[in-house]
Amino acid sequence: MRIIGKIEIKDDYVIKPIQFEGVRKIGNPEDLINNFYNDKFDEILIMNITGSLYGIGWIKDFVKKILKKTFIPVTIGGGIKDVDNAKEFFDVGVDKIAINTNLMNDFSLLNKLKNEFGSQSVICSIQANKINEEWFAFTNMARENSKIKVVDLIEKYTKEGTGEILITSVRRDGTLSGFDEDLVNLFLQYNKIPIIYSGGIIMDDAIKLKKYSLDAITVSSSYYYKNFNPTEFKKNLITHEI
Amino acid sequence: MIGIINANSGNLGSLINAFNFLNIEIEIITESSQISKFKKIVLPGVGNFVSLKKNLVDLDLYNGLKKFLNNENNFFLGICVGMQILLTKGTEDKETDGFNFIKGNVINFNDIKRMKTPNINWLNIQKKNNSQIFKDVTNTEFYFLHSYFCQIDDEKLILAKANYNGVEFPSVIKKNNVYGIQFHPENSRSQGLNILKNFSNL
Repeated sequence: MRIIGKIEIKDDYVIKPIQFEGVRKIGNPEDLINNFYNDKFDEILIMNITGSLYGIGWIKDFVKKILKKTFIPVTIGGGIKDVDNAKEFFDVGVDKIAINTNLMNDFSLLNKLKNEFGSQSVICSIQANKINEEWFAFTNMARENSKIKVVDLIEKYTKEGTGEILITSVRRDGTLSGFDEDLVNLFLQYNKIPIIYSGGIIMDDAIKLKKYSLDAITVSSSYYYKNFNPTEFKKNLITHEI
Repeated sequence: MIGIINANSGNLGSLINAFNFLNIEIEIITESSQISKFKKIVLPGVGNFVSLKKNLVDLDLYNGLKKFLNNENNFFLGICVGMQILLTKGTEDKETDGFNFIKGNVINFNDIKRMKTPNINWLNIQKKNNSQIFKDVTNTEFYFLHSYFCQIDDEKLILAKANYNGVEFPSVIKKNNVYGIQFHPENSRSQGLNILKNFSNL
């Protein structure tokens, strides 16, 4: 299982929202990315959290700087509108881009990005929330319900071809309350392309997650507040193997 | 000085960052007239076999590279699809001829058995040979991102293997001074940087 450090950036600060709300400041983005790298996370996911509202702005220059010394895969998400936006990131050494809101507004964007950069460079991101016993995909920092069911979207992205799908449990994100078993059970049956689970992961989840054999998870809050350590987490996954 | 082929893939950035970090001089190759200047060339391959082949042909780099490969004094490093295109034939989307420098075909993991693709994982490689390319490489875990792999007729050309879901595949190959690497050294921490440094020191 890959363990991906997720870092949310607003303006020039790392913040950590809870359920996509609030802007609690965590620290300096460069320092935190160095920490993720030194603590042996497998990949880094940078979310420009106001990206879909305000565009890609200064973050390009920042990413350019940190990529000169970060030699693991780095994904950037938030506010990427078109091929030109994506190209600006790939040119400075970003390995993958994650898209949600702009893709949901125009599904043809996926094909354009795939044709230009290859399907393995694109992560389709889904902000999932449960409304009346049904999981729906949300956009714009989980503010708007697209009314599209999460399962339908997974099928669509799988069929159209993308490198990976990132699924975030909105209700768990930032809550430090463990992974969303209900959501994981929902997408487990889709076994054609890798799915990254995001939201609420804590150290104790290693025991429960063993039986799910997920492809990848993201971690942020428990790293900032609860001394999450990817090496230890992986050790626990193996130790509890039955 | 190492030449890096830019086949319009748009994902060269991380490889350039890695060479810059190592203080290794590089030049980007965009046209065939540049090729003869170099003794060492890297072909990064992101995307798929068909588009890499098409881009190399469209940019008039394909024949120049073929000639470069066949000169035994030249050093070459193909990464990911840049490795796969060294083989006889690719089967991604449609059958496409490669350089046929190394005999074999490029096939999908799902041609062997049903499994998730792409293989996006840090995997340990099993060295079959103590090549110079592995100098100082003690941690053998590297970052892979691919759905297709090289099926090679001549086992002796395989320097290292790796295993995804029970399927063994070549992770490093070599013929003469031509190397192919399935993983991404530019995304594989210091062990990956070591591989690039070793290639530069050959």
